[in-house]
Amino acid sequence: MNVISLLRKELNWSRHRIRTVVVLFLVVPGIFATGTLFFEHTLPENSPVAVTPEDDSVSSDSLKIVRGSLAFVSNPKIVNDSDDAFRQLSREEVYAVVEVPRGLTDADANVTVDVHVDGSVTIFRLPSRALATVLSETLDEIAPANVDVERPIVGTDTSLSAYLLPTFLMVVVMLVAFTYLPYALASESNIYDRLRVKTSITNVIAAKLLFYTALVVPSILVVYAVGTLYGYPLEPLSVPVVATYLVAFLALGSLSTSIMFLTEFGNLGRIMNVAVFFALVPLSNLAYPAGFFSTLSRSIARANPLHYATIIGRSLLLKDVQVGLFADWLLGLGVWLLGSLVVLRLSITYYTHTQ
Amino acid sequence: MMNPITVQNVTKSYGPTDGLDEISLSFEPGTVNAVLGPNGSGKTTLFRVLLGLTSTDSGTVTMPDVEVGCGFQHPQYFGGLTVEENLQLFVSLTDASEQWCETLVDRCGLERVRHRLVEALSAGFAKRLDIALALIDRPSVLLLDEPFADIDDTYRIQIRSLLEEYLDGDRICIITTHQFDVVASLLDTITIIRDGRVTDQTDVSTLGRDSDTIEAYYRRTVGEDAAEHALDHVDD
Repeated sequence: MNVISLLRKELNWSRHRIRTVVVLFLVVPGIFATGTLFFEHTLPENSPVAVTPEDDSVSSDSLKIVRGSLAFVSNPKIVNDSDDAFRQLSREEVYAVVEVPRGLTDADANVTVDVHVDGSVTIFRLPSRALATVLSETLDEIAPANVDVERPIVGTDTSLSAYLLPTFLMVVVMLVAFTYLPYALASESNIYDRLRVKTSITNVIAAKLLFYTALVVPSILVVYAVGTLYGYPLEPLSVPVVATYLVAFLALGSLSTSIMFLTEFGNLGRIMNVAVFFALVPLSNLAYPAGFFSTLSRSIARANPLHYATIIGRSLLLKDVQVGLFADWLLGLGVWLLGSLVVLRLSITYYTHTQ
Repeated sequence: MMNPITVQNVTKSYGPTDGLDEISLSFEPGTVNAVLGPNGSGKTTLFRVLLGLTSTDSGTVTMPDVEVGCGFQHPQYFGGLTVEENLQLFVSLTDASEQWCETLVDRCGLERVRHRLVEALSAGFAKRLDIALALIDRPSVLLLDEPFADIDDTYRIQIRSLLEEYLDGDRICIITTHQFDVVASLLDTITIIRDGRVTDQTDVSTLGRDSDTIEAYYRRTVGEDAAEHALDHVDD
């Protein structure tokens, strides 16, 4: 029968591309199914929150009471230095700073506990209300003092659209790095032998990466221009912002190019890159706070350089903060880029030695 | 005087076919050399080893320190660029002469398609571009893998004529082909490879430069079945 013959042909076709078929129909669905585990919780039960004393006279018991009150709805930690706590808030290392006043353990005292949240982290606004409510109710029950909980906003209160602008920009960077760049590499792979004879393949790839990295600049400018046009309160576009996105692209592009070399520019490499793209979006906590969904997702995000690049880009675009605040992370991004380039160099060496 | 190309005891194995087995060869300056053999005998592997594209398991390859040009069995070009853009890229990469580039455009019959994207061209045009790119920087060593495949009769003659003029002096050319009628007049030596081994080498002057004689010699050396199989794949 014709249909049987044609089905057999499909089977044979797939058999000859077994690696691609396995990745597309088994590995990718498996990754996505596993990925849903990270969305197990819809309340930010594991988002880090700093508990800090208003001044030196605040007792450690008071801090522990507040920390205990927050444990069900966040991942609280005591930060004794208030400046450090607010510094962590600016860097999205914590998503709220709960400032504990003295007198919490004094019967009949009237105290106010402030839950400071960053105005630019719009996505944490609603959860922070829940946090404050839970804290208020719990302290009413267990604290000897009469407690008021307030929720002051640090910095400008940003709209959700403005908050998502830097995130979308990072997604665009990732999309180019994991889809268009591999496509361009694959479409030109038939000439790499000739290029290897006349120049070095490393030069060819370096030129391509530099070119596409430069193309990211117009994307940044367009997003910034549109944001400004619609009146979003964006900070002046600075070199560190542009550099952060370019470094992210170059590092991700090196990774996707390495995958292409290791898979000899076949369809498998392109599918793997798309899979990495879809995996990195949720695992980097680009939009949602780290720990929003699970402790595991927080750990993964915190180990992911892309998470920090996103925070730096967002902070420098939406907040009036100094770039020095992120000096250590910028250095880390540099190391990440260097590592990615080393991986790329090794993958090129592997490719040339296995041809 | 340029040094010869020497291949000494080179072994390269991929699996059951297409490898080289303790192969030793030498190609002298000022010669045009055919490397012949049935499909899968190791000709393309030998080319890749000579071009430095494939590492060897053992043995040594010594190439003279000169420019090397290469034409590939499957033409290599940027399909997303025009003919002109492809040529100009390699002119700039190799510091080649613009005037020579124009000569190649003319002699390879690329003028009327020079501003078209290569991916839209027929296989014949693509092969002619591949040959132009092989010659772009006037290489002293020229390796051509099935250079006349897909090219129509008119341009086979024209490109053979171009090669005849080009391959004078010290230059070394190595060609794999089964189109003896096109290359017979060019050849100085013939090397027969089978199963990754050199089975015979001969000076064409001792055979005669006509295609029938060369084909008869080839059939005799590799065996009728293998020769028939290889020649069946020749694009006429």
